Amino acid sequence: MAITTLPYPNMDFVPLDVLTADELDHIVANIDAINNASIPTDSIADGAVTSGKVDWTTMKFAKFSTSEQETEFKWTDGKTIYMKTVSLGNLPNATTKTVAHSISNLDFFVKIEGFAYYPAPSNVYVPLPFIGSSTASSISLRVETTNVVVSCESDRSGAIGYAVLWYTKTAG
Amino acid sequence: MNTLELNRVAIWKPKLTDGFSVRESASGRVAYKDKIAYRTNAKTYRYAKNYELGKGKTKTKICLFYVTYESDAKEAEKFLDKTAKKIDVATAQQAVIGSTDTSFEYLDIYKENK
Repeated sequence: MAITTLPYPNMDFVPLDVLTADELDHIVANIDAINNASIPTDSIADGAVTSGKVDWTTMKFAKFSTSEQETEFKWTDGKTIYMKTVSLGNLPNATTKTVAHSISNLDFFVKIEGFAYYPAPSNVYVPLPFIGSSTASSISLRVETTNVVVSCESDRSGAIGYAVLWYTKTAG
Repeated sequence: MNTLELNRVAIWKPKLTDGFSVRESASGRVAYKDKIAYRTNAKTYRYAKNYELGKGKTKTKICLFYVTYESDAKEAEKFLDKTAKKIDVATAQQAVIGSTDTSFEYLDIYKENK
């Protein structure tokens, strides 16, 4: 940060100086200004900020939520990619379940992810869609214009599912 | 450890800003004269300014400062400017190398009281 942006930019000291309370206050004000200032890119040396010092949850793409999240990613057409986690609740018992994703101005989906969680008897997690050893043991997951659709041929009601949808929009 | 001697010019590494600066202190500071301590009986002023001495590879930046009872800042700056011209580069380089954040060297140059 350029020193001219400090509230008291011209402070200097030599040995034997005795600082007054006013001057100490000015130093605190300068420190405060540095803490609160945005730092221009050219003031940070290359490699000075390491990933361990970054709070990734402040990044647009780093927060999973059941609310729509704008990510830093762009699709091939340059459109912003949004992300939303949809809670599917308990999976169906040998049938099909639809859950509204409530996405407005949907353009199209660029990635569909999901998982199911069996709390009992043994905390098992499986990805969705799940490809089992047979069609009967598999679980399908698809997304339609207004719904997330999950289907299975056997009883999966003991599992709780989530779908993570990545998509673009026709308008923000 | 350096002690305070009024009116004696000190040489130090360059301070943060190059320009002439003044710092006032209330009376009652402990100063020394002929190794005897006493308390200042009036407000004191610290005057300081950075100077570049030498050219090319020998170019050296220093800070000159002194503490006095005299409040005439213009006169003080003139005195420091004049003093800087008397200092040779070798002395300046040695002083800068030996300086820390808290230690400096006194020169045998004194500001005479008006």
